[in-house]
Amino acid sequence: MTSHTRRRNIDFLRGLARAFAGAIIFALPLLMTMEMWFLGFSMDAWRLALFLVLFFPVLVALSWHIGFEDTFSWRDDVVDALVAYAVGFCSAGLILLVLGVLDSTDSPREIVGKVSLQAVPASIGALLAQTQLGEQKAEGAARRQGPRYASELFIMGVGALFLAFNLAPTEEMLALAFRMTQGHALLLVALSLALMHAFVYGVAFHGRPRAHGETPAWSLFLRFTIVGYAIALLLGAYILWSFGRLDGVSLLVAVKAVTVVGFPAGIGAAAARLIL
Amino acid sequence: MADTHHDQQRVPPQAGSPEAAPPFWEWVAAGVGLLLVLASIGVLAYHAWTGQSALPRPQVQVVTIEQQPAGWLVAVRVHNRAPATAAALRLTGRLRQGSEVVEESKLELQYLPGGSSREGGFFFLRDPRLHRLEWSFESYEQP
Repeated sequence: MTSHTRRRNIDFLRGLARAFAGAIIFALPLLMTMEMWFLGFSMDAWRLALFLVLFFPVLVALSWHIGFEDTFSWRDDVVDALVAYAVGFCSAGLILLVLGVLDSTDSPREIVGKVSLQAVPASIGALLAQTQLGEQKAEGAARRQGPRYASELFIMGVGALFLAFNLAPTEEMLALAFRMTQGHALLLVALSLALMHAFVYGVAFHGRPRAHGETPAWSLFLRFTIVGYAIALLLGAYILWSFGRLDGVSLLVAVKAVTVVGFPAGIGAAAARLIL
Repeated sequence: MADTHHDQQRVPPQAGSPEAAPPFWEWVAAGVGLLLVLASIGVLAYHAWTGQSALPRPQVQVVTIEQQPAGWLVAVRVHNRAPATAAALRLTGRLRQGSEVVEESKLELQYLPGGSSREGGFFFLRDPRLHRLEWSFESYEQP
């Protein structure tokens, strides 16, 4: 082993430690949420398996954006996404074990359900740790020069996914949907759009995508706020469906529940462009 | 999502950072990740395949019987032999003397996941060892 290879291995292990830190920070609220433990075994197994399959390309694309390491090839992004998944699984499993959520009387299905569900936010944290806790921010931004619009929408999607995933497991989503009248739901849509637009506007003057400085407000609103909100609603609906929260509810209640999740998801989408 | 576009318009590697294969330990970690994901999907798909529309099948097993200041405690382990989860599972324990029920005690388990066990206990005033212990499940909710 040459000294260069050894140094690269040491760099990787250092990055790995950082990834564990990121995974725990991002997953901790959910690791300590009771509904998440229950979803681990009560959630439909097909839907959870489908979620894990669909989430993988998202991790690969996220790796391309921010990089667990300085990746330049498709192969490296897949490897990074797998490493993030490994970190997500291990950190979630370890914390659940220490908290006593995993028990010797649990069936393999129950353990796999509990851990793999928590591995989703944890693996996002493992990847994001590189930009948030490390020093690769400038580089990550530089890499986003190519397909900027698609890339920005993807980042909005990741923000929406993360926030929706944090809130959709809770009982409150449906409880709010039951309480709210149609008027409340419409107000919530308006409020979501207004807050999202404030973030979109903030990014436009944040300096990074400089071209936005000259674009008119309605263009920003249509291209980012509306599209971002649509992404947030779709992801919110998909996550609610995955968690079985939409099973057996009327269309009206389902739509209200989606607007409830769409509120944090939309803000997550809009804020992600500032944060990531 | 947007990821399909990235490959076509990828920014080329910057100068001074040669494209190198991931270091050894990264391959190891990636292998662990691949294994964990595939195993999880495998377990879930297997259970989804075999456990379709199954109903819970709970079973009670006495762990221990203990005398306490206020009476007797019968600690039980309830095991679900089917893959389907039962929520709010209610069961009743009875002490019988002949055909007569002399005492009754109730237990509700918040969740009994498929294939898993949960523990609980029944309190009785009379010594359960001198009577016939009987269990009956009352109801459950689908989670």
